[in-house]
Amino acid sequence: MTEENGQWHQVIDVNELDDGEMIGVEIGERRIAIYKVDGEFYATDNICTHAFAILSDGWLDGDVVECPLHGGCFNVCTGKALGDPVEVDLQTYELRVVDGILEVLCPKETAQEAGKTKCA
Amino acid sequence: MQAFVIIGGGLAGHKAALELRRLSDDAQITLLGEEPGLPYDRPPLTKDFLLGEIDEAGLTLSNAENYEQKKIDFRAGVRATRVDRGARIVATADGATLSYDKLLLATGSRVRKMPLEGERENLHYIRTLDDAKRIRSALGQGARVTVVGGGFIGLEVAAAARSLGCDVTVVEARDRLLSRGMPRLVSDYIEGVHRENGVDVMLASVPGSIVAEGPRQLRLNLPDGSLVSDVVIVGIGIVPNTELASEAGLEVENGIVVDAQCRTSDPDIFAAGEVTRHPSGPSGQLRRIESWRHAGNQAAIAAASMLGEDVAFDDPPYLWSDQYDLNIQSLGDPLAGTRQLLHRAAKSDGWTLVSVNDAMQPMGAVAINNGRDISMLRRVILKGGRLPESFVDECEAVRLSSEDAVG
Repeated sequence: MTEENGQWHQVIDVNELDDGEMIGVEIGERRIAIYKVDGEFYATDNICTHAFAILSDGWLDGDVVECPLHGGCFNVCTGKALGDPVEVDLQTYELRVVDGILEVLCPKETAQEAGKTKCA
Repeated sequence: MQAFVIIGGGLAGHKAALELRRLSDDAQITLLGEEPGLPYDRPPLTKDFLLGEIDEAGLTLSNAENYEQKKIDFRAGVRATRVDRGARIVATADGATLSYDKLLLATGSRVRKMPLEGERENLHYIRTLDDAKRIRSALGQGARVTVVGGGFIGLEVAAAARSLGCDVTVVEARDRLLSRGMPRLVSDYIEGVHRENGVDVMLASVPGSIVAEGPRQLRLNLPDGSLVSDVVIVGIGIVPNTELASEAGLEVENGIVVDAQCRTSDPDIFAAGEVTRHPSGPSGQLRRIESWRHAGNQAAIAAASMLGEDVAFDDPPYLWSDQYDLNIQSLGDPLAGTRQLLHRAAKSDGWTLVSVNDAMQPMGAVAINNGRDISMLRRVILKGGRLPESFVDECEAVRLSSEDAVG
C-alpha cells in the first residue's frame, strides 16, 4: 500500500488499545508509539528526543506521555516537547483505519533510508 | 521598568532569566555567571561527557545562545562580591555596580573538599566543565582510578571510568553506598552492579592522607592499607554558596532560607536552586535539595514570584542517575514512611521500592529502570493520595532494615 507521501503499514487491530493506553510498534527500523486519547488514535516516534528511551514504557496521562528515563514530557497529538529536559519535538505520523485495522503512514524518506540500510 | 539582577549562571539562573523574559517584555535582566562561557548542563559531566558521547558545544543550555536576541544582559566570568541591601546594589569583582529592584541569588554549590594532608595536582574534584575536561583526559584505558565517595556523583564517575576501561576502586566512608537518602536495599543492589562490572568497592574506609608516589601516581592511605592510583577523583558532596547571602545579613542555615515563593528574609531578594533551603512536602519542613529538576522548576517559580505573580514551589524532591545500563530515579523521601513495598515491572527486570505511611500514602520511592512507576507516584504524591489498590496488590512486602525505619 503505497502512496505519494509514503507507505501505509498495518500496525494493530483497533480493539487492541483501550482509551488512555499506548503501545510500541516497529516498522522496519523505525519505532513508533500509538496512543489512544479520548477515542482518537495518535502516533509519534517512540524514542525520546533527549536520550535513548522507549516512550511507550513510560506514562500516558491524558494527551501527555512522560518518558520513563528522565521524565521529559511530550504532547502525543502534536509531538510537542513540553519542557525540561526535552527540547526537540517528536515526529508524528498520520493514521487511518481500514477494516478495523489501524495503519500508519511512514514518510517516503523512511522507505529510502530503510532501502539504504538494506543495501549497506 | 524594573531591573532584575540574577547572580549565578547555572541552570537556575539561566532558567530564571528566560522565564522573566517570557513573562515580561520590558524587564531589564542582567545575569552574572562566574564561570567563563555560556551556561551549560552539569548532569552529563559525570556521564556522557566523560564517555566522549557529548562534546562541549552539546552541553550549552538551550536558548543560552539567544541571550542577545532576548535582551538578557549575560556577563560571563563575573563574580559578585557584595550585596548592599540598603542601596540595592550588587558589586562585582571587576569593579562594576549594578542596581536592582529585585535580586535573585542562584549561586549554587561548590564541591566539598576532602581534609587531606598533601593535596596533589592529580587529585580531582568534579563540578565544573573544566574539572570534567581534566578528568576526561586522565581516564585512559587501563588507568588505575580511585573514586573517593560512594554517592551518586562518585558512582557515576566510577561507571564512566569502568566503561572507558579503567581499573576502578570506590572508597566510601560509610558502611554502604548511597547512604544519604537511599534505602539499604538500593545501596546493596547498586553495590552488586558495580562489583559485577568489575569495580572494587571498599566500604567503611576513610582516607587518611595522600602522598605522591613517583612522578605521576598518588598513594591514598586508608585504615587498612593503601591504594596507589594514577587518578584520584573525589565526590563527597557539595556545599551551598551562601556567603553573599550571609554577608548581606539574610537568613542562612545550611542554604539560603526561602519560602515557597522563593523569597529570602528580604522581600526584594529571592533565591532559587540548590543553594536554597525551602519548604518541602506536606509538613513544610525546610530542605535543601540537590537536584537538576528542582533547580530549573524552582527558578521558574522564583521568576514569576519576582514579577509579583501568585505562585508556589511545591515539587516533591526528584533526581535521576544513570550508571551503566541502570537508570535510577528517586522521588520524595524514600526513607520516610513506616513500610516499604517492592513493585516489579511487568515486562522488564525493573523494580521500584516505595515507602508508604500507615494510610498507604506514598512518601517516596526509588525506581531502578522503572521510571513509569515514578510518573504515577509523582501524581499520587502531589495529590496526597493513597497507592492504587491494583498497584499494592502487585507489590511484595520488604523487610525493613533498622536504619531505614525512620517513621
